[in-house]
Amino acid sequence: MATIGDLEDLQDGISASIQTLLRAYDQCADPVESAAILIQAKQLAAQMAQIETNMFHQQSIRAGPTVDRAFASAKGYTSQLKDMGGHLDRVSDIIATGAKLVGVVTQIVSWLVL
Amino acid sequence: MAWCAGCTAVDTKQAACLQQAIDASHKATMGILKRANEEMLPAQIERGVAGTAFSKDDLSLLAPADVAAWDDILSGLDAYCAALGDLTSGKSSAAFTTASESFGLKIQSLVRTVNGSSVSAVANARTAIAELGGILIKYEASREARTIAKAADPSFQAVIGGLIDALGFVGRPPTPATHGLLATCEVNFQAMNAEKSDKRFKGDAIAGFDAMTPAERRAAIKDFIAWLGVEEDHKQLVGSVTSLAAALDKAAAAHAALAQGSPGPIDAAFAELRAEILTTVQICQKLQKG
Repeated sequence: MATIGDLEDLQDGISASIQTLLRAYDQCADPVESAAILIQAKQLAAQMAQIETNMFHQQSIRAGPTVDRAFASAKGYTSQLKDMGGHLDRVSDIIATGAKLVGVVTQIVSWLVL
Repeated sequence: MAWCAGCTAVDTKQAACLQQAIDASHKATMGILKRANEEMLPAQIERGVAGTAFSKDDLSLLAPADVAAWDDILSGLDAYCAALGDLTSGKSSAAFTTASESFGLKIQSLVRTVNGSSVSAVANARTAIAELGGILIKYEASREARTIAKAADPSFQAVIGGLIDALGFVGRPPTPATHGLLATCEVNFQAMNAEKSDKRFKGDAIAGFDAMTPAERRAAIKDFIAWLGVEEDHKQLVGSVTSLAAALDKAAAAHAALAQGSPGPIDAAFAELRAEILTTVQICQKLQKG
């Protein structure tokens, strides 16, 4: 079961990941990479808002292997991005991991329907 | 009537103070939830662009039904505090009996309304409010405010705790979490405005101003002024939510002290609550102006 607590943990991870992305954006001088980072940060922020809409409604998600895998993947990616906060020069790695996180959270929020 | 040595009766000023604090917190909560929805509109548009459909529901971060449910629950808390105030105001027995039953039934009626909306977001608070209504009727015969406050305290704490949690705070005293409403507003503000805060207007100055033509400078200054206004509005929202969480915590502490009935803690808790009321009233005024 993906409980409210699981969704709160996911928001914690997304929040930390956005901080890494925004710090990378702040330091990045390449316009193409900057744009990619900013798009990801906005996508993740919008997804966090989607989760909040449902959390404010106290909605949880029915459990299942697919759900569990998605949450585990998201947790892995947010953890990686948090670690990358100490290596902001690895912009391509940050963008690649950010893209994976956006993808898996897209899947998770698709299960959240009021 | 439950009474104990060293315990003190709830006086009119304390009951009035609690009533005033809850009334102000109710108004501030509604103002803040409305403001949060307004500030999140750009993020909602971003969210909509990424989706496959867009409707009126997508315009709000917090669903209108969920906001209305909190409004109803806080109305119930208002009614409970008004009943406590009535108890201490020296009204005649008959007047109190009528008022008590009226308030109790009013709260239960509110709960039925909330139940009817099938909103589950506030399930715990809704249950707690139902219990408050029942307590008022059950203890009406005692006509003793502290007895009622003692019986009602777990429900009162549940409602206030639920609201503090919904605003995005954890622990006591409440501290901002990295999840929930406040954190969501914060990261969305940062992400949606990063281009301005980190590039164009970094360090509260216009980047590349020297190289701009006069027309570009004029346009940049106008954008800069608009940005400063947006930034100020966001700071005001964050400050308001934080102050409200602190005020709600003080109200919960004051009610708990009333329930305990020891004079020293009651005086201390109400001194803190009185200080918070002014802040909460100011939040309401700022939000109404904004």
